[in-house]
Amino acid sequence: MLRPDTVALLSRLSEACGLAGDEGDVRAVLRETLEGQACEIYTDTIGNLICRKGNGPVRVMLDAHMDEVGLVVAGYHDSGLLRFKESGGLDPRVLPGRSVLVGRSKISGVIGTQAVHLLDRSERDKVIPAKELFIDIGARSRDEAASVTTPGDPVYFATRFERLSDTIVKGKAFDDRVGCVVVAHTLLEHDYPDLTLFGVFSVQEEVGLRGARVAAYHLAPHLALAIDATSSADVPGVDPPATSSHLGQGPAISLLDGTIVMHQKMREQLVTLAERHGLPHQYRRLTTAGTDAGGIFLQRVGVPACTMSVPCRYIHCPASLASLDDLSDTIRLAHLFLESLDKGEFTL
Amino acid sequence: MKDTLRKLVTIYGPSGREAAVAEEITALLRPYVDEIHTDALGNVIATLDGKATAPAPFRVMLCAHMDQSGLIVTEVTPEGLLRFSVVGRLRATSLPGQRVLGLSGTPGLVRLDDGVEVRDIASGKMHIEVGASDRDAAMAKARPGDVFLPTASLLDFGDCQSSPALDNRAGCAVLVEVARRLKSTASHPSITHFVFSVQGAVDPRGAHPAAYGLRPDLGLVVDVARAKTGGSKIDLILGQGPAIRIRGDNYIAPPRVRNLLEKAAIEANLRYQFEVTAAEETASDAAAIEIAGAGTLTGVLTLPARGCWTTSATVSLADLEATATLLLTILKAPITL
Repeated sequence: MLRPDTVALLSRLSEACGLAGDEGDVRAVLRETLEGQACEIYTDTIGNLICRKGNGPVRVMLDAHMDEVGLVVAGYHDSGLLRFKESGGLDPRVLPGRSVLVGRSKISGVIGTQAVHLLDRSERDKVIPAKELFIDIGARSRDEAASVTTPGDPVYFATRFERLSDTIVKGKAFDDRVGCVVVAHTLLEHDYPDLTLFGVFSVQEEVGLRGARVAAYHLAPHLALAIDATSSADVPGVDPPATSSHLGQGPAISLLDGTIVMHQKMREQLVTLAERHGLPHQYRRLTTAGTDAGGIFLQRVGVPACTMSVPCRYIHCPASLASLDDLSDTIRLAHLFLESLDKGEFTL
Repeated sequence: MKDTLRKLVTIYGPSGREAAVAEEITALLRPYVDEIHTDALGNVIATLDGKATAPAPFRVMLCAHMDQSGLIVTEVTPEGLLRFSVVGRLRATSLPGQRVLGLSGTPGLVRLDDGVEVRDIASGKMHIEVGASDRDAAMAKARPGDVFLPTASLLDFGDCQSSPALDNRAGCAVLVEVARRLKSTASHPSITHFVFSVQGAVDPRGAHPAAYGLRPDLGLVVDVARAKTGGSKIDLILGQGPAIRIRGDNYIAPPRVRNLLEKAAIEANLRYQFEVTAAEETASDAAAIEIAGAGTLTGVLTLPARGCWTTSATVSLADLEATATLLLTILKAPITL
């Protein structure tokens, strides 16, 4: 079971706002959490928060990305409605009617669309493309809207973190704030004398695995483990082979994704450790999309890398569900992996 | 060359699981090179120093990806069937009915799910049969993460050779042949690096860190490309010599490199073709080598292959020989770009 302060950290991170390129709030929460905890902590040129712990000979990068998917203000209609673009991969089916927060001053707004009774029958069955939606902040003119917002302002889903049961939590941006919790918890709780552990909270993953590439280049790790969130489509209407992962069945270990075939020995070591310690675990059955591991492994002369994810339902949506048991098991498996490296039980 | 090809196509080596191919290539190459090693990602990197007296000899990186496309098991169903994803570029339409083998020789058969129409064929609507009637029996034969490959023997038509693994063991065979002939060439003033890269059947990947480490002056990639068959609008013809790729996905030949390749083909009196395409599947290691480090001028020679990216690619040994000859023609003389 997770400690209350770990859940509190997830809550804070989930409600912090951090679109790709605007990760400052998330970074501040993490820095505050980790400052003075026997780490060297700094922000690199592109905005990655790096926490180094230990000075051992084996250099390990433990990565989670700080950014989340959302929207960006792109311009105005004369009526004062805001045009927007997507930042990261969003599902247009889930946008209309959502409450959002616009800009750094978090102005409240709603993603608007035509009223349903204005649509003819055939239009009602169609998904409205994002470019036909707009954001309504109550402004009555272009000038009024432009006086409180600026094109480029980030737009966040106004979703509060909630605990739905003992084990299930709801919130926005679990992709990848759950990973941030795993990395932060590992740095706070454990020492690995034979490792130089780089906890990397990376920027701009959702728009092309950007921050992690830069971090892996300048940190030059010997190997890297990326902790991410992955979709859990165990809901009605999805064929069993397409479910990707199941909520509550433990960390989802990737075989491959659209950017990397995972390092086989690392992947097998994760499975071996999970089996040995009786930890629930599963394979991620989706083999597309990308994770930071794909950006990391091609840096310099190559970095063996693997991804392990916390299953989340409704990923890349305004609100996701995650299991605290899965989070706890992911934290544990990440630690077991690092411990096996630290003790020399596992080498590449 | 045929013997090398025969050896290479029968080795198990899907993307991300290249160790056995790396081992065989290392054994084949070792007599012809000064140094050979496998890097952190599994790329085989070998070097033959031409012992030029110049203070900074010209350095060439020849590159062929050594992995092949395969079917990775993602789930074992309660009925004992294997769900899979394609790793790499195998066309789903070529899979139904295909016999496959797992790493330890576990036989399998790809079959369409019941009731799937031809137009709906996709890897998610197929399964691998391993002759198991429930999950436990199937798990004794294969587990998630195992990769199955189309049965790998070489079909020998004489000059033409067919095998699922020709993408890109054909390119690997060419590089081994270049090393063999280069070793016994009196003058080869450049330093030649031979790179057999990982995960190149999926995307340009392993070649990037290899090029970063080697920092060559010139990269030359050998890969297969789709040759004309019934009904296709492709210009590349099997048996008409290697193609100099002018344009591919994420790649445009630098004119200096294009000219170098064409000049060598003419000098060696070889038939050659040009390839201009932008199809997504034509991303070669060149796209990675070009942008690695501070950038590398890179050329691509493609071997015309009928049925490329299906389970029955066909190449011509004469094309392979000509490609080796073309590369040797370049390497025998001082290179200026």
